[in-house]
Amino acid sequence: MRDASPGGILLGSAVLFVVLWEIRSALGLLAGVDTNGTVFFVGTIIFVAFVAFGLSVGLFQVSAMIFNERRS
Amino acid sequence: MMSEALETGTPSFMDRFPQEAAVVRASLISSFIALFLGAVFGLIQALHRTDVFRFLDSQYYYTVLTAHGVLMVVSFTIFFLVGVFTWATVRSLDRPLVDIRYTWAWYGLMAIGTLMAVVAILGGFIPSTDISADVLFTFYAPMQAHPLFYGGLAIFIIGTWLAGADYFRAWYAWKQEHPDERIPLQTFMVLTTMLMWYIATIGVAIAVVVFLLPWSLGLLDSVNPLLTRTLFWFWGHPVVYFWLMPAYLLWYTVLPSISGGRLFSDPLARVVFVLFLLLSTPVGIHHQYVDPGIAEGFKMIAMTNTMFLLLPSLLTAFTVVASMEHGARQRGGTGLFGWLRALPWRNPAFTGMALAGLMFAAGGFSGMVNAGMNINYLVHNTIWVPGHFHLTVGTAVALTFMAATYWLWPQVTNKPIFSRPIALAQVVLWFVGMALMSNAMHVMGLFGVPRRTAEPQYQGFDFVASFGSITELRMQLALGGTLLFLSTILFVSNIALSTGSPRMSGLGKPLSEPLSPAADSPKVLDNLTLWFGIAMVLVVLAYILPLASIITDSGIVDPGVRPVPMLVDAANGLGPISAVTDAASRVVAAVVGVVP
Ligand code: HEM
Ligand SMILES: [Cu+2]
Repeated sequence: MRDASPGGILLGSAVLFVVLWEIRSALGLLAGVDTNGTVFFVGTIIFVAFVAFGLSVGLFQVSAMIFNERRS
Repeated sequence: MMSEALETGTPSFMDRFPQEAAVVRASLISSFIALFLGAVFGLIQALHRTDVFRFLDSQYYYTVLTAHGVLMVVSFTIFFLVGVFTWATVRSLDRPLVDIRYTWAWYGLMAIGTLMAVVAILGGFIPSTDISADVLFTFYAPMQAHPLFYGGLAIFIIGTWLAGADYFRAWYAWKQEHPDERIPLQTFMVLTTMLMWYIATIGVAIAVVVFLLPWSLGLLDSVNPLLTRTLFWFWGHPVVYFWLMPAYLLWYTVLPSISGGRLFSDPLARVVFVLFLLLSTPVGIHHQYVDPGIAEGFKMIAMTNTMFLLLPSLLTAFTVVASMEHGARQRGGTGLFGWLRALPWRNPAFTGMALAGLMFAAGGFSGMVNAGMNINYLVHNTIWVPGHFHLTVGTAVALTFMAATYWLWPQVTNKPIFSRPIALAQVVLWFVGMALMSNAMHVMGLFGVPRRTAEPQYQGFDFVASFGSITELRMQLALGGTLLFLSTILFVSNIALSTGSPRMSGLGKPLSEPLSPAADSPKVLDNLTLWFGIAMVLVVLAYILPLASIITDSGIVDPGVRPVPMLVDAANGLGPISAVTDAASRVVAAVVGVVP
């Protein structure tokens, strides 16, 4: 069963991408941890793509799990 | 099309006020033309300064940058503002403007002024003409532009003054018909914002008309750069709220309805707009923390006032989120965070405004860094600063305007938007593009990379990145800028293609009433004369001593500033009273000298 609309997946992926990518700057600036830029970028893209794919085929229903409720 | 029915059956703004709708359309179209051109220049400079693609000689960089700055923050934002304000005033008073010919007159002045300024700027690309205005949107002396530029600015500002008078006239006419009613909320927001604008533009009008224009015409030999800068920033900070207030108006009065709910509190919204009227202007010196010739004490006062200004923005964050939550719960949302899912995320107008608000929160944080006198030294004039304001004016304002257009445009044209899925993709693309570009700018700024520089690599000089590399950040900036450009193209073409949509009737979208209505707020909130008076007093208090000491120390039109004093003047043996009287006598002498 599908739980996410295409629009929702688009928006969610965008926000997820931004959050993950900003973590690299936060690590670098605040914690002084230098991650490999290319690996981080490609890894972020792959992860976001995986989540988007999973949501679109109904592999997982994140919203239902996190909020423990379903929109009627 | 999406599930929400397009036609509500309510008459649209265009059905009810066709003449005013034409003015709104003209203003919005002017605004979008500026946005498109501004984005072209934005892309050029994003690719140029990162050395990804350079097709112009670096000598033209300031021409590009001036065009980008002026088109974006003067033309795009202010044309959109007058469009929204015209719509909001007429809609909320539910009556037409007093005289539509007058309305077209101010629109015409704004358009002529813009054309003059843009011609002067673009002249910079043609070295054979002596017309140029490579002075950036801050037009600091001693950089000098062709008189056409200053003249255009002056005419544009006069146009906005007349626009404000138009709203006041409409309100006055309404008041005669409704003597005992509260000012409708949207009109209240328009009027307080315009009052703030009248105060703020005193500074820029004096800078342009008294000093810069005569100087570029050759009537004055020199100007005092510190004085004109200070007058510029007298206007330059409140102008950021002038950009922001139409976005706030949309967040307060349109967003709750789009979310399916009602504004949390009308009185709180009024308080916020009054606070902006009071506090927007007496803070401008926070842009001059590193200017020599202004005593530290005055900078300290500006910093304190700036921190107070956080309050109305925090109030806004609270009210807007509370209203969204109310809407979501009306739509059946439950749970601590579960209501978030019940919001209309598929609606580009909603999603765009919500993302704009999210980025504004981030912009607020970097703004607090800018506002702190001591940490400001770390980021001053680095590309951190463009990183900050692309989140605020470049997203909180710009993305809200674009998103609101998807909601407003059908009501002023009677034609639905060409494609809502493209619109949704557009706002999301802006969010991602801006996250990349702004993040890269902030980080590079911390590494000391300057703003306003065509070749920031400074031939033979390397910046040190504390993580990653400068190259990587440059690529990130260029990528973000490119996505933003694509997003702009999607927006502009979606609106342009909407002109081909079939004309429909009943596209009007009614706005819901606030949960706590106007009647709950004390009457004194609507006393505009009182608030205007207090605002003027605060401005005088904040500026009289700094201006007096600038004039006393370095004259009215004398070039050059001594790099001292850096302490409050009284410590230098110069009492505040004598500073003011001395400066006043100089101004009188200057005026008497000119007017024999
Ligand atoms: C199409 C998307 C945009 C791109 C690619 C872009 C790119 C840039 C870049 C790279 C700079 C820094 C140049 C430098 O300091 O050397 C800049 C400056 C600036 N941008 Fe944008 N920008 C965009 C949209 C906007 C928007 C929407 C606004 C405001 C509504 C805006 C307002 C400004 C201003 C005021 C400056 C400063 C100009 C100056 O320093 O004189 N930009 N932009
Ligand atoms: Cu400011």
